[in-house]
Amino acid sequence: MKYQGKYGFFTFVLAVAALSMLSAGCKKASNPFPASNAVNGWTKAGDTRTFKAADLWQYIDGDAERYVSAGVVTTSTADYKYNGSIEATADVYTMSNEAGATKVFDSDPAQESKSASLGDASRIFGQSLVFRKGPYLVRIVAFSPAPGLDQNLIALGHAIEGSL
Amino acid sequence: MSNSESETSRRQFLKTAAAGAVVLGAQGNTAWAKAAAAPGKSRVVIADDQDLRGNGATPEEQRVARLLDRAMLAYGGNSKDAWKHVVRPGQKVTLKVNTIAGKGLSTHVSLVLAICERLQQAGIKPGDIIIWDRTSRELERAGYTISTDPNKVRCFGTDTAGYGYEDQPQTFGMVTAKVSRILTQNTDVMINLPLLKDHEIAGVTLAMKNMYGVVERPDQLHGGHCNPYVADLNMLPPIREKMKLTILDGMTGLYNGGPSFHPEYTWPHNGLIVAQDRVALDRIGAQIIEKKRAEKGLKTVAEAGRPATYIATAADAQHKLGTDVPGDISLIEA
Repeated sequence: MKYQGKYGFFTFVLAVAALSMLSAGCKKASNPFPASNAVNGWTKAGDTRTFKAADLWQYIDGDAERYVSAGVVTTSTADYKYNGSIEATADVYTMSNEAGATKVFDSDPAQESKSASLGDASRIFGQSLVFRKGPYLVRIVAFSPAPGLDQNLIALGHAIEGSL
Repeated sequence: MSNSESETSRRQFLKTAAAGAVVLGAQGNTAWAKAAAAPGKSRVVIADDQDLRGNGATPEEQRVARLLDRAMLAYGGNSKDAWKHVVRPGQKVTLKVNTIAGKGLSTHVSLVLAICERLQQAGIKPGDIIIWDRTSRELERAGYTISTDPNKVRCFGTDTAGYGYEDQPQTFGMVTAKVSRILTQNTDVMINLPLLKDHEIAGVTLAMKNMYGVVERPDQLHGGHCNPYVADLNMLPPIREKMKLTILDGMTGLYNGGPSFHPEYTWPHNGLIVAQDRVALDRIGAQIIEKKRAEKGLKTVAEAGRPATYIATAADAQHKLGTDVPGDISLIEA
């Protein structure tokens, strides 16, 4: 009885530790968006929304199909403003595995893009950035152009990458 | 490409886009009557202004209003009379916009405001005009101001308290769907205001696919490249009967990656397409997108594995929503 009690307690401690680590990992991935002014010039506008795969259509309608078919698990989205005026949206797609993120990333045409040196692979255009890191696919799209915007998108992208 | 080269290219495209008569400008106030009396000939107006944005990135409001007036003039009659052929005082008029892609690619507020002004000039009370889409959130993100004041032009989503979707679904063919009460109970005339976009599944999303935002579960209508779902959806009585006019906002076009906003694949098309025949409009709009894709070295949407087969279905004997035969389309350049 004494023997079982000791091991039972040890098992309990391990279980709590494992749950804590798992919880911390989930929290880290479920909130990848930097707070306002954590990245120079960028303020977070409004709340973060998260969609399960079955509900992704509510956010991006027919575009959801290719993410679902590639194994998306959840999608989180947040709006930002740069210097108080340029609006942008950041989306983090958590895929079931790296292959899913790669599949979606590779399905986008890469014409007129450059590498942004982010994650495992990345593309920067004048007004949008996309990169993948492990099972994550990240898109940041600004709604209007501005000189030097691409570098500011990359800065925000680095902050998000660091949270994944 | 210079402006003159663009103009030459555009004119050449219009010559080949429809084998029917190309009329440069409409004459007189009887054009609507002539259009109605010419069965089998669907009028589609293409109007554009290559100086629409002036020296900036966004279309200038006054130029947008003038572009609208020119398009409606070309469609039939002077602007005020043209609107009176679409609406009558006492009617409830709703404007179904497209805002799912956010501010970068939504029906322009400036266009909608100009239409609201023309409707009021035609005798529609402000409180009888509703600008709408699926959700108020999407409208706000696209730059619209939400208002439910019954004495003013209203703007809100189907998800607004007191509206929602009908309890009982309607069925045609493969589609069984619950329709927005904004359309079923608050609309006599719907003016459809879609965008000029390609679509990852349907090939293109234009007049007919904009009706996906009218029903509760559009996610269930994407199989088979949205075919026959798009056509069947447009056969539901409220959608078929109440859509009296489509003014496609082609001021910004999207030729790849749609329906989501991909700024790298947009171009300043700076135009509007006006038609009552939603099938003919979609056929012309699809040709415009294919032309841009070809310019950019991309495959056609069919070659890319997403053919816009729903357009032909909408024109077939089971649907008869309009015509997609070039010889039966009267393409008018304004």
